[in-house]
Amino acid sequence: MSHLLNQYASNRHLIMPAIGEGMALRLLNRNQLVPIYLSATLATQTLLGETNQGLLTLSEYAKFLRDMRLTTNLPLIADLQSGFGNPLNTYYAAQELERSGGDVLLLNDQHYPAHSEEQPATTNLADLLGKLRAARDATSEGTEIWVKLEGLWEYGPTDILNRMQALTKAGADAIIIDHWQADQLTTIAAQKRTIPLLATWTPSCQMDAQIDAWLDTGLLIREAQRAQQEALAAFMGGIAYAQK
Amino acid sequence: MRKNELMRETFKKAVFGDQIIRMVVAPDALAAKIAEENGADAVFAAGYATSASTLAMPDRGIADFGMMLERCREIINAVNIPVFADADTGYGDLENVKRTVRSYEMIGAAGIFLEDQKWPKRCGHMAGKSVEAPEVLEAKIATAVATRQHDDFLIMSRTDARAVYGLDDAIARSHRYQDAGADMVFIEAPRNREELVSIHEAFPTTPLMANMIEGGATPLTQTADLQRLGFRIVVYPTAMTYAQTYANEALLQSLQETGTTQKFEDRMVTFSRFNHFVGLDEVNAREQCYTPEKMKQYL
Repeated sequence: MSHLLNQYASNRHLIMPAIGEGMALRLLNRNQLVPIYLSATLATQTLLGETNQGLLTLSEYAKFLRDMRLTTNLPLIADLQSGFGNPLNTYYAAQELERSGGDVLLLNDQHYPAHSEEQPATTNLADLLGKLRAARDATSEGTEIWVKLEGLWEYGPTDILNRMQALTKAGADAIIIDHWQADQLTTIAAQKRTIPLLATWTPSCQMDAQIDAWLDTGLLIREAQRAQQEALAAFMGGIAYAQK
Repeated sequence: MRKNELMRETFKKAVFGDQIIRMVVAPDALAAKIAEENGADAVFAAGYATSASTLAMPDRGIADFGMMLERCREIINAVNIPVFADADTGYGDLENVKRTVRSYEMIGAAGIFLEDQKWPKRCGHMAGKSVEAPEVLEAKIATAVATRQHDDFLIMSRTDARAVYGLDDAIARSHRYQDAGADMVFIEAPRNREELVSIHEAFPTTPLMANMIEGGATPLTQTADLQRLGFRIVVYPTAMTYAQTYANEALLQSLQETGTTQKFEDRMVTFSRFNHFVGLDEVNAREQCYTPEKMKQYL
């Protein structure tokens, strides 16, 4: 059970923003009092200029997390990705992200290396449970482990419920559903559960009332990129005008 | 209690206890683990050894904050005894000092020292040092004390003024640094036993550190003797670096001469002992905790 989410229980539409660079965190630090998700996908864009989170190594991400930790006291959701390898790797990765300042470690069920795509390959449940248990054993009581399930397209709502049940039993503090469609999410959210259920969020998504909280996927950075494209167009236009 | 808290608390208790702390400078995580296993009370992550192990260069202010911090972090993660950190001049002005303090506290250091040399600094026992006006380190110490999040993250002042202006000036500065909030005092490179005595007389109740560098300005003194002289910490900043270098040179000369490492085997740890030392058994056992078979209980 997530003690962190309990603190925000009065916020019926809790959306936790995703960031991948320091100035966005600085902005949120002044204006928000909610947990911040340090997305590995977004950090990969900032640090490597790439879009595939699988290129970002644990040490590179952990350094980014430590730098961000120094700038805020807000709860930070650290991206454990798919554990950076097998359950043994997950054990040491979880230890590293906890001591680098993560309050929540977000483990996904992708096959290692994790990818930033709509239909990622997922790992089997035994491997995922091993990683969850490893992360649990590696961290102290106050650190939460949330599991993001990304294979709805592959294993469907029935199997996802089996996964949720096993993950709950193995000690997950919350479950997040990613890459969902509204009818699938409604089916999943209607089931009885003992830990919080979250889903990924975009501005256009239908927010099901049964979902306990929402995890942003990068609105701020997408808006910033749009603004940059407009600025670039103006810049190129200026150059063309000057050349005339 | 988390490891960071435990290490700070352990170090503070030792500093204000009645036994002298034997603190060994480790050039890297492996050396720190060797120090831990062989009786060191604490490890010091310091500039001379880090410059040597990271850059193969002298301690002349070339190893920067990022390198020093990362090496210290690796050492902290490898051991379960307190790790004290050399924060040099704080790496800039007061804004840099704040970041330095926050960073070392976050990675789990038990404390840091800040010194009054002009940047780029150099090893305290090298010739050609210059120091800032005392106001500079006074402000840095006050800033460090105000920035730390835990009172048991100890701040030590270091002055290098002995070599520049003499012992009296070094003592006067250190009093100012203490008044600014330093928990511990380090006067670098006293030249003889009488100076060690004078330092203690000037700071009879303050935890003091003595620096035992082979070939340095201060005479090598027995730990028990330093304790009698009133010092609370003795640090060995170069011994492991010099011993490693000596052993590696001898090994490679032997290889060069004989074409094999065989003649040197009696001066090495064995394959199995080394694997045991770095925890191979524990890692293998850990992996076995998460096999698919063991995970069936959750299905």
